Amino acid sequence: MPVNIAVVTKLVPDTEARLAVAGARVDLTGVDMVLSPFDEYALEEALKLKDAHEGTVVSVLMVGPESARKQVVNCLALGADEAFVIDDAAIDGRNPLAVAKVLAAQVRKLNPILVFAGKQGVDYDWGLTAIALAQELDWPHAGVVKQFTPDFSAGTFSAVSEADEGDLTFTGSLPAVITAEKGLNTPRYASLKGIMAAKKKPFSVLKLGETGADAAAVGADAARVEELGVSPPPARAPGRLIPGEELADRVRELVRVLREEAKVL
Amino acid sequence: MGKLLVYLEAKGDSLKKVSRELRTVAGMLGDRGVVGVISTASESALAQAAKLGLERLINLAPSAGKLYAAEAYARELARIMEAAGIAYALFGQTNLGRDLAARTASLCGLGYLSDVTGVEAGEPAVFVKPLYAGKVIGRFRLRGEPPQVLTIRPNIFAAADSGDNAVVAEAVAPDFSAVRCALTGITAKAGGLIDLREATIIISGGRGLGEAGNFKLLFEFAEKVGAAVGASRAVVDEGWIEHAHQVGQTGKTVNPVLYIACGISGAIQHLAGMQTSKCIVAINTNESAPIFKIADYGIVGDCREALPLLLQEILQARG
Repeated sequence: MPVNIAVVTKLVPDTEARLAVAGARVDLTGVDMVLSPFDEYALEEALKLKDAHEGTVVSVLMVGPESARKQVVNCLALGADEAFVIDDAAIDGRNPLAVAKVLAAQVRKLNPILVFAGKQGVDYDWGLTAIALAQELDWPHAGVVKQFTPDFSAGTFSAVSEADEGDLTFTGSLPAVITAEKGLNTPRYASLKGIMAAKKKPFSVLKLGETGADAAAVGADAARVEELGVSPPPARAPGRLIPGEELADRVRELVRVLREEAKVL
Repeated sequence: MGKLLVYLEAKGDSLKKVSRELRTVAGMLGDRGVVGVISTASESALAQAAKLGLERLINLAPSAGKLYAAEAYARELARIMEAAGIAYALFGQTNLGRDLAARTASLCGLGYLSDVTGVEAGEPAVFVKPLYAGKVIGRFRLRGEPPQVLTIRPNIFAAADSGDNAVVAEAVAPDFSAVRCALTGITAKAGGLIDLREATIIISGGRGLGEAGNFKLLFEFAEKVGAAVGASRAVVDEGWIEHAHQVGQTGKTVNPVLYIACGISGAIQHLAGMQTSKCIVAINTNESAPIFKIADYGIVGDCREALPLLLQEILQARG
């Protein structure tokens, strides 16, 4: 049966990028920005369901800069049907609770039965936005999901999440917010046909007012977290290569220094 | 100055190490009453929790098919926090710890910081948290009315010991009536593998292993030495090993006492995830691999040949 699915995404610096600190802030000048990697698994899971349920509409949402167009259009090229980028300086994009309120306002209009999101944005790694979105919508959520099985006719799902105590199986009812762990699926690549089709798909850049979210609740005044500054991680003392003619000699010497110098064995 | 809440977790019949670490962090936030909340059916884990120097211990007692539900537990915590006058609620940065912390902060609109690795006491306290998987370190303050929610990274703070005095646990049956998603089953891992985030020693493998089958060298080492097995993103993406073993920005951030990188070149997103390890050893055939720049000790050589020798030497040295 056809359903509506929303995918919530975020723009983050490329994980392969080095980050410089200038004036106690991260300097992102010239850094490549990408869709947060966990969001790729969120999108793929939605697209898999679209493949299996003809007529399903997949909408991609992002609170972020209009300059994210390239990355978001790529989601359309992969198979999503429409995209909304909500770009407004009145939104405190650093506050997950605020972003969740904006997303919730837009999600309600789309009337989806599922929202997928990455388990966390690989920038500040809060892991809060999607769960706050579920709370905002008054929906259940299942987090860090590596295996997802919905039953649309019954209105239920099961989801498996990996923890140190083992695999956790959650069962729940739809609608729900699901946050994706790497391994949930294997994201597809865009086809040439998909890239061409993406150009004709609806792509909207919205202001806060168009979402209907309460401006007072999503502005800088609502922030509960104050960032005092950032610094590079402490530098590690230079290391050394272990000498020795044969590999066995080097390994023997390594074990000696690990025991006697580093005292870690 | 409000009280503190620590959300404790059991793994089988033992309290998780991170739960003892939470008690240490609570102590760093000043001399004030600490309320423990746990959800366990294990009498033994409950007894360990009761001796952690708590004012109260509340057990959200699980029952069959109702092992946990973020919605129900968040409501219980909201009630407990309000009644006890909690300033900070502390959770471990574990699968369920972060899940419940996030749902509770969302339910009540609370200040929230995840994956905290440093605490500077004061009013208000300052918290340290790695950003971008540790490429930079941020310092934060929380503002607004208490309570505030923190999740604490495992393996950073000292684990508190159990004392002699025990509190009597109060059992509370969480209200599952309005729950729409619940934890209904746990499939325990085979072989009792050590968790990467709590491991003292990690042996990690990359492309230099040559093929998937050579991970058996790492698992043998891990079993005999008492280590956890890690992996680079490259080999996880190749399907050589499950994602649960991935160390780095899209995997786990780890900080063991000893990290041994075998055949890992050291992509920046991998380094970000392990550079806070106390001692880093790199074994790689390529002398100019970036991993050697952050390693304390390097061996230029084939890790496939070095691993059996290393295992033998360590076992011999340990007697």
